[in-house]
Amino acid sequence: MKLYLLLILASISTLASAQDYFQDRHNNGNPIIFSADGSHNLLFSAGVNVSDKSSVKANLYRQYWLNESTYQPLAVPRQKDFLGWGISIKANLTNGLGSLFSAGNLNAAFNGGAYLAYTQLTWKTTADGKGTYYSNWALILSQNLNYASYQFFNPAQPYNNQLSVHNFHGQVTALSYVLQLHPKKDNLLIGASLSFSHRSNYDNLQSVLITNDSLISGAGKVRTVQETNDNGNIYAFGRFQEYTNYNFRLNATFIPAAFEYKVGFTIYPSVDISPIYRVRYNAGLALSYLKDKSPSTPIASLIFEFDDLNNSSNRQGSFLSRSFNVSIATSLNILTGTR
Amino acid sequence: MPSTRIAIKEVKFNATLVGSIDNLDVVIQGKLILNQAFVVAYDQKINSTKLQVIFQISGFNGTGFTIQYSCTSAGKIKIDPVYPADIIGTVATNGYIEISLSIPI
Repeated sequence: MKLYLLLILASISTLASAQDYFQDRHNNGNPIIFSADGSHNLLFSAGVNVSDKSSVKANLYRQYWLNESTYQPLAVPRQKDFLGWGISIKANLTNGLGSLFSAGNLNAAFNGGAYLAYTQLTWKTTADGKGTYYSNWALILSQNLNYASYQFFNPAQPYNNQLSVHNFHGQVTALSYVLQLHPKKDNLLIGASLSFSHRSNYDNLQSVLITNDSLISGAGKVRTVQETNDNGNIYAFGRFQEYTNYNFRLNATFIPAAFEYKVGFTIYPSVDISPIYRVRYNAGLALSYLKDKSPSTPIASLIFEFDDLNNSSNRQGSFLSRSFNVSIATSLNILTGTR
Repeated sequence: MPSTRIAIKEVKFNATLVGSIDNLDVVIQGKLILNQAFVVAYDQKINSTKLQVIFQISGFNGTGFTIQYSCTSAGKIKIDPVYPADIIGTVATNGYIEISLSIPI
């Protein structure tokens, strides 16, 4: 059995071959393969996302060529159909990557899941009848389970009971679609996803850094913040709630020839609907610096997200402080192929 | 009426494409030859005066690629007169480019 390795640096969102689709600041995304020659059929990818909620993740994806026996390479139009499955794991780091490297902490939050993907590559005659036009699309169904260990600070409690830990179990079911087009000289990717999830409002709560590990003696007034606490010293305070959330998201990436394929522009607005908040509007923007002569390979991506534009969760603070987030995404994908 | 006899020759053709493309199909003498990670190996006895090879390359516009190929017929090295050496190209329009070789054998 032969084994082929191809290293590809970086990844973001809707970008192509062996890249994540619908990746965002939270390092969400399902890597699939468009190197659909029937040989690049196994993908392993790993990524790091650096932001206020940093994370590391790894994916394994395997695909099968469905119409290999009937495919006619000289016919136009023609198509290739693939079915694939993947598994993914992701760990969030409450205190950022520092805790990963210093204490090997991966248990602040854990996400694991599986996904199925159907992909189709098509070749059609161009409008003028003189050439061939290539495009492809993918439909991805994913199911993820997640676990998180949340830390809470409740100043209303007696001093020695102000800090507590709550274990949360959630799930996300999502259906995503992406269409990859190559109009004339440019590249355009358009997608949409629909998901429902059991989640919490932990990310919307106020957070506080408690570094006071001093011991205050007195009746009921003993609180010890352990420096060796696996989850670090960041605590949330406010009313904690678990709820079902429905999310609809659009996604578009444009890679123009005018910038010599060095830059990719991504926009992804979304809407959240849940029983505990008003309809919530979000928007994301990403700028990707792309590898020379390989516009499907981002080297790094700068991601800007505006969450809860209409402040449906009634968070305190200025618009920028409660809504704006920025992060940098990069990853290493390894394609392996066997036949 | 004179007739032309074409000897059957053993033809070996190998090619490797390097580049971040989506898909490569290689058609030799009208048949799809499956490639593994963009590496093609063809070894057949044929009764033709030319080896016809078509590379169908699909991917993002702007993707560069290089194709290295070698061909022998009855043990002798053969080349395409238009592409005598490595083929360096770019997917420039509609996400697709086709390159054809016609190698006298």
